[in-house]
Amino acid sequence: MNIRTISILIAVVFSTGCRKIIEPKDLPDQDPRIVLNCVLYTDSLPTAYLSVSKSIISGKDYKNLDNAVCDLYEDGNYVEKLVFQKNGRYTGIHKPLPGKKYTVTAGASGYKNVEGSSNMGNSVSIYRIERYDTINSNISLQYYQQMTSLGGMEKFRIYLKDDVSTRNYYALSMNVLLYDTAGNVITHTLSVSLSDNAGQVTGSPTFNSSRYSISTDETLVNGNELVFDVSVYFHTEADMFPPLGRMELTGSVSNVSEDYYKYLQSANRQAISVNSVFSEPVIVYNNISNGMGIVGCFNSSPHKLIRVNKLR
Amino acid sequence: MASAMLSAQKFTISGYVSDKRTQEKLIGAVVLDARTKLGTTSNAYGFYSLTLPSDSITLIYSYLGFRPVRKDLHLKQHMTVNVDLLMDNELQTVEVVAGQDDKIEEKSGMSTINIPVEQMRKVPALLGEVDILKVLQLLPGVKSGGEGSTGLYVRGGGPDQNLILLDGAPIYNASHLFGFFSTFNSDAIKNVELIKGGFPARYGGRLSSVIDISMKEGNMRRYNVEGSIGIISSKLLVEGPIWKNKTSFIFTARRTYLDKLLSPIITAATLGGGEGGYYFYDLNLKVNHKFSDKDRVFLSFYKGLDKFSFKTGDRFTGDLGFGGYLRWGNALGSARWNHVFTSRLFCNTNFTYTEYKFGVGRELIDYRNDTREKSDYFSGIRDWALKVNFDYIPSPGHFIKYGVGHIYHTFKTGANQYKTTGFDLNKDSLSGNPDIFANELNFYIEDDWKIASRIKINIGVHASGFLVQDNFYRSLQPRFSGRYLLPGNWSIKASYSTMMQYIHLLSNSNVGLPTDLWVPATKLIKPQRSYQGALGFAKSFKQNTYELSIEGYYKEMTDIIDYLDGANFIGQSTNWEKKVAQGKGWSYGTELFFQKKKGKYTGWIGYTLSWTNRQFKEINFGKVYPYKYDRRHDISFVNLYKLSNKSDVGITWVYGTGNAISLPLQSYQALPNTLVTGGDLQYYSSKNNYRMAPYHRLDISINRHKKKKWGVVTWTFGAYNFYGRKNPYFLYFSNNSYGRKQLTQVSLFSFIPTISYNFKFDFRNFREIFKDDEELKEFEEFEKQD
Repeated sequence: MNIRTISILIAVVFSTGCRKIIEPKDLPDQDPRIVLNCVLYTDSLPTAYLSVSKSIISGKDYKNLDNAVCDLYEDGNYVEKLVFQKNGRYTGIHKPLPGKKYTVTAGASGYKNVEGSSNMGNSVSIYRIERYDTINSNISLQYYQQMTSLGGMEKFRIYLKDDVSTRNYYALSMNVLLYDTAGNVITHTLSVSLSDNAGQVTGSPTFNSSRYSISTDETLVNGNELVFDVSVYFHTEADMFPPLGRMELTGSVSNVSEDYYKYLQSANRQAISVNSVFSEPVIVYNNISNGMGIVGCFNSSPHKLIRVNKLR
Repeated sequence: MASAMLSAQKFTISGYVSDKRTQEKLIGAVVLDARTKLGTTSNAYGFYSLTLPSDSITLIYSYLGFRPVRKDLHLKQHMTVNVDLLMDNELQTVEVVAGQDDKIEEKSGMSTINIPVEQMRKVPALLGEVDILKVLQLLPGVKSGGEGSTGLYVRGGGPDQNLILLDGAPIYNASHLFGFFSTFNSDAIKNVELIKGGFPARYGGRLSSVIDISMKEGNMRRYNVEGSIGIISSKLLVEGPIWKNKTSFIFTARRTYLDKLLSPIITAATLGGGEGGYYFYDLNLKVNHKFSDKDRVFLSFYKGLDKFSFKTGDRFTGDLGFGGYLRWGNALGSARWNHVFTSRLFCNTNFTYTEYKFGVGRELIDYRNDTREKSDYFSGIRDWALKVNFDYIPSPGHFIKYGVGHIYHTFKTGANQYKTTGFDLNKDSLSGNPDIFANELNFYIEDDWKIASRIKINIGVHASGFLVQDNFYRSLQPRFSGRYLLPGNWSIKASYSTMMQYIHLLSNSNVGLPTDLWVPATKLIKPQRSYQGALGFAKSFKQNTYELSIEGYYKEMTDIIDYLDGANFIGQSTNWEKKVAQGKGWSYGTELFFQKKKGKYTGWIGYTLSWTNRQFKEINFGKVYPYKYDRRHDISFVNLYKLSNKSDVGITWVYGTGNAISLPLQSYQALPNTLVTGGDLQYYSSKNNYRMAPYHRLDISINRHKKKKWGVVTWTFGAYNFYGRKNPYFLYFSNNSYGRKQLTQVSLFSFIPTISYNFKFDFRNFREIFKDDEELKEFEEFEKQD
């Protein structure tokens, strides 16, 4: 028996491992369920999104629920029926109030009824804002090879006091708006870095329209003064900026319900790590009984104007 | 009057119990006075001490598999009596004759299993490579990690919670070939003891089990050469006297040759441009010298290494070359000194060194200008330890052990080296985490105390402290186990133990990948602790031929660690404290063990019914979830049968509930404008929400022995997973050829045939062994029977 023969034998031995496709019928928990996503804002009308989940190995598109019944309750009392708009979106007309518990229910033919609840926290007030580290804080326009570049940095410190009597979660949001000389908003992209004083929450914040937000757990501050360090880095380029007029930075700190905080944290963690074979799986927070999704609350404080720059 | 005074006096008879053929000391041999029924057992070095009233005594020395020896003595002063016991013919090792060995119901300890190494060697093995850790997985309360893995999960604990000792020195990574084989060469092993609960106070530092492995000492009387040639590896053992009856040595070596066998395939597949392969080896060397009956010194060394490497391209096939390697291994040294202070006081001083190293690297070569760029990553752990242990046996009713130890740990939590040569500017830089140094101290005292004929307890305390980075952790760990003899050879047993572990294992996989990183308890990460209680019954039947034990246990572990959801294993050494959570785990269940120890047929049935859960505040939203190895039912059925003097057969069957894993079962739309990355979400009802299919397997082996003029040849034929069960190894999602998502189960080993050739040279000179003609004649009669 020469070495080649032995090699082939070894290869045969190690290739005896095999694969088997697991059929959907052999997987548990495959029945589609109602997905209820609803975050209630104190400054907005209630909006819920209803769709249907699908098997993890289904190749079909997601189905929105356009024929469901969706109701809103406040402290256990019926408030209103959310009315279907389009693409699974349902809206109401009563703005949620601080200090109340809200429950959203949904039902549709062929699916189990679902329900989720969340508490609207009290509003947060910012009592001081400081601008600091002004050495590099300079917003300017640069022109290089026919390109216009807007660059610079702003640093702020935002102070508020954590209410120790309740368990609070906060979201810091920044609005960054650029105007041309005629007062029109200019579309742009910017990068914003936010962190809290406990040094636990850093990284890229979620971008929603022109609002950047990041949330933090009150256990980090536990009744102490909460300080957000805000660094806004600007670097954006365009072939041709219109004549620039001014830039507005506004910030707000909101009270986020625990449910929504957990959902935000876990959903984003899963989204980032889902394709990495070296990462632990992430379970997304879900407070919908018989279904999936989230019912959360978000109490936005009034926006504080932080800085207005006149741009050259 | 003088006679009466003398009879009231007590004297001690002490000495060593040894194997007559080899002079290997026998651990746990029973020494019993047939008249008074008072007795003792030999310790880990074969030493015994028995204090009896002055009288005519009849001592019976016995040990499982050996012929008992009877000594009639008149005890009127302290005496030293060394006794040699004769093993049955070596070909009859499976069939052992009944002796007065230690009965399970009479022992004060519980949750302890000692399987003779000779019996372990008969158990069918993957690719014919006998593996003691895999045999331990066949015992109740012990679970294997995955297919082929040597990982041990004892009573709900993790693989880092096992204290694996080789001649008193801990082994940190006991696996070769990514966990498929253990680092222990079974030919070099004399004794293996597994303790999974009711820990005696002399052990500490791990939560879940102690696996105490003793290497052979080396034949004092004759040279012996053994070896085997298997499908993937070969082994060699050489032992013999350096100075007859004074100094002996044993040397073993094992190496795989997958690299040599796969090399032609790799070269052909890469059209001659590639090289690569994998091998492991291990070497054991032990030397012992007997200075006198009171002093003996043992020196043990172990070195094992696994290396996987590859290289593509060379200056003849291309301009650029790329290579890499993965290398890990243990090195171990141990120096022990046995000293008998008095006939009742035995001392062992053990100085050990152990190191586990892991390295991974890559090299980029540009042959056009002869430049090289090399980067390496290293991690590991190194211990220097000194232990002084005393055995004090004041009377047959007490066996007191006490001692003190100190371990100096060096944790190498990851360093990178970057080197370039041939460039205009040569570079050599080193970066990474600084080494962490820690001191661990311990002290213990225990007494195996026979309170009355029916009541015997082992009571003790283990105290330890750990100094790391200006933090000092300490603990006092009470230990207790005891038995009460019931009528009909039954006993009821109970135990309680607290354990403390100051080190954690950051494991990026459950299959024993060598990238595991040992880290100490720190200011942020506390030491882990366990509390375990057990209650059970034990009984032996038919002169200790059969043994039955039933135990129920409850174990709670606190401050154990697990990775946070989404934590990435890559770069685990950086900020590792922020990637893990500390929480608790608990396990409870019942274990049944029924063993036949003697006769042509031997073997056991082990059954475990258990539940194991975990709870971490930061994982699974604080809710309880099953541990990955929460295995409701675990069955092992081991059958060893001696067909004739020339052949024996081994059949094992194992069954286990499927592992619990986290598997998304549905997907759904996220709240609009929520995700950084956009897209949808995967739905898990909870962590470890899905059970893989149950695991079961039948293994068979047949040994054919043939006597030659020069020794014995054994051919082993066998099959692993005889009926080709497709046991799940892991699951993954992929797209099929139509682009549709599918879930695939991968099985690692289906039916695998085994063949190996074992040989044993016999250089026996009976005249030298048996000075007494009568003994020689008796031995030769045994040989003839064979």
